[in-house]
Amino acid sequence: MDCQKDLARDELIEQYLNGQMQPAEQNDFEIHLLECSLCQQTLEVLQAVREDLVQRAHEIRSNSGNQQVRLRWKWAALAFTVLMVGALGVMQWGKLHKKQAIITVPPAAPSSQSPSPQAANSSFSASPVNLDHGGILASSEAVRSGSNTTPKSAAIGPDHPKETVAPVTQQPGKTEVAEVPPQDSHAPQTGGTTPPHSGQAMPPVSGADDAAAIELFKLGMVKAPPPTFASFKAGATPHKGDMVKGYYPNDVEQGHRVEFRKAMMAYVKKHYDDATSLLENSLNTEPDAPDVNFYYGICKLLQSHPADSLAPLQKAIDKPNSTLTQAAHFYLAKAYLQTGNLAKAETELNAAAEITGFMKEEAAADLARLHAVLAAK
Amino acid sequence: MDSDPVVIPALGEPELSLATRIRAGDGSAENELVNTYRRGVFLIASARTRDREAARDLTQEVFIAVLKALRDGQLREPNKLAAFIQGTARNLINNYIRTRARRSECDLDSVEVPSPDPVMELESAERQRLVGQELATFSAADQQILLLSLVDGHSLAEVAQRLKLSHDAVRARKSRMIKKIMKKFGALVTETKSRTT
Repeated sequence: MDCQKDLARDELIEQYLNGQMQPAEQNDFEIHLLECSLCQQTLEVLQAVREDLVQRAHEIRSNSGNQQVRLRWKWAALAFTVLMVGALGVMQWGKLHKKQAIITVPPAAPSSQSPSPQAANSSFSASPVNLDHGGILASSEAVRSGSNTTPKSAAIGPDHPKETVAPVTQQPGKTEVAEVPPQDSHAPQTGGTTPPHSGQAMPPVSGADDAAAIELFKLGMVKAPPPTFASFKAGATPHKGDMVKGYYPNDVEQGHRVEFRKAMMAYVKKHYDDATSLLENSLNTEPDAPDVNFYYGICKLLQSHPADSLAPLQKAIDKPNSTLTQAAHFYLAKAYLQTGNLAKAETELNAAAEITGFMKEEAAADLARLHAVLAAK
Repeated sequence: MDSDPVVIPALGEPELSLATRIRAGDGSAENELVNTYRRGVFLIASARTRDREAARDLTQEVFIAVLKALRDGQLREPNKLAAFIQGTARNLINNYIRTRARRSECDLDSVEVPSPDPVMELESAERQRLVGQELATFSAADQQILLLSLVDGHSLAEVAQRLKLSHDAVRARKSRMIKKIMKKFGALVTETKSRTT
């Protein structure tokens, strides 16, 4: 009987305790047990363990069962939480994707050597900013330079695929970081910049010009105008069901101007990429339609392509008696602000403010702010 | 009580003096035999019957039978006293299990068996309490492993399957627990034994 190894002894005694030995083997072990204090000691402890386990068997089994149930509930809760977080994440991602929250370095304020609006026009590069549903705006640094202009991406957003190129001109031997005014977290970066779409190199701006640049940056912010369903049929009034159904009319495939209607639905859903494609299709059949041109220009503006929005918005204005004329002037002004053409921006805001309509006050207010900026310069 | 005839093995040479002294009527030799083998017999009885009270009674019955046989000179193989005692114990325990008798009908008047050691009883109870406390510190899964293997008699493979653990994990955890308990209570058991012998 080999009981010198702990493991062998434990297993032997366990077999004995469980009655798993053959009769002859059991006799041999018991004879050994009578004279082996080590085996007696082990058997005694294991018996004590066994007795305690027997007494608490029900408790242990129920604890184990409860623990399994608790474990299952924990897993279920964890899975539920993960699912909820995932769902929220997907929803948030979808929202943010539509928002196109983009920030770019704002244009440089005109320097003291170029006080005229025209000079200001050439020195301003407004960042295309889409404030539609609160896009994330931020800016962290601005690099100024005097000669070389380097496009710099400053698009900020957790999932925004687009980048808006902001000009950064590097001054030989001088590189500094402009401070963002603490009172405005949306404040743009400033610096000697080139308008993103003009390609002109701008002189460095002074610290006093930063405030003006910030104000111009704010003026360039764009909110998506509401969609229109007034022109699905020539001379038609808005379809009642369009509003009731949340711009998802069932007869969209059968109605007039299918492409435009689809574009408007994509626009409502803030799928501006899709809306742009659909509006381009509409333009193939209706190249002069003011509403198509207007929303195409708006989509381009919301997609951070202000220069591309100028022509369609202008086309929307060119058509007389359009219900969108005032809005087209207003958003064309925004496009000019973003491209740095302050003079034309002023003209368009003026035009928008002179037309009676729901944007009259807003246009007048923006015009006053622009005048203030220009006056400060 | 229906009981099988007790088979008495022969007495062996190493125990000759003890057996001879008992046959000669030496009372101290009888006490010595009881003190030497009582713990082992009790453990065998309690392991087989799983009843401490019954084991205590059976231990007394075993020693009554052994002493009677030794006095009568029934041991033929002198070098097998342990086997003789184990054989006597096995038969009595089997009889007990078969008949569920709680007490032997053996005449106790002629044989005086030392009563159970109160110190041993007390320490056994204390050990039981401490073992219980120690077991309570183990995790529910560890207690489950011990329960399934030591009480339910499942193999390690079966325990592993039931608890959805690997065989090696169950073996390691069980071994670790046994070792821990043995380390903690082995000394107490040894101390008890040295005191009782």
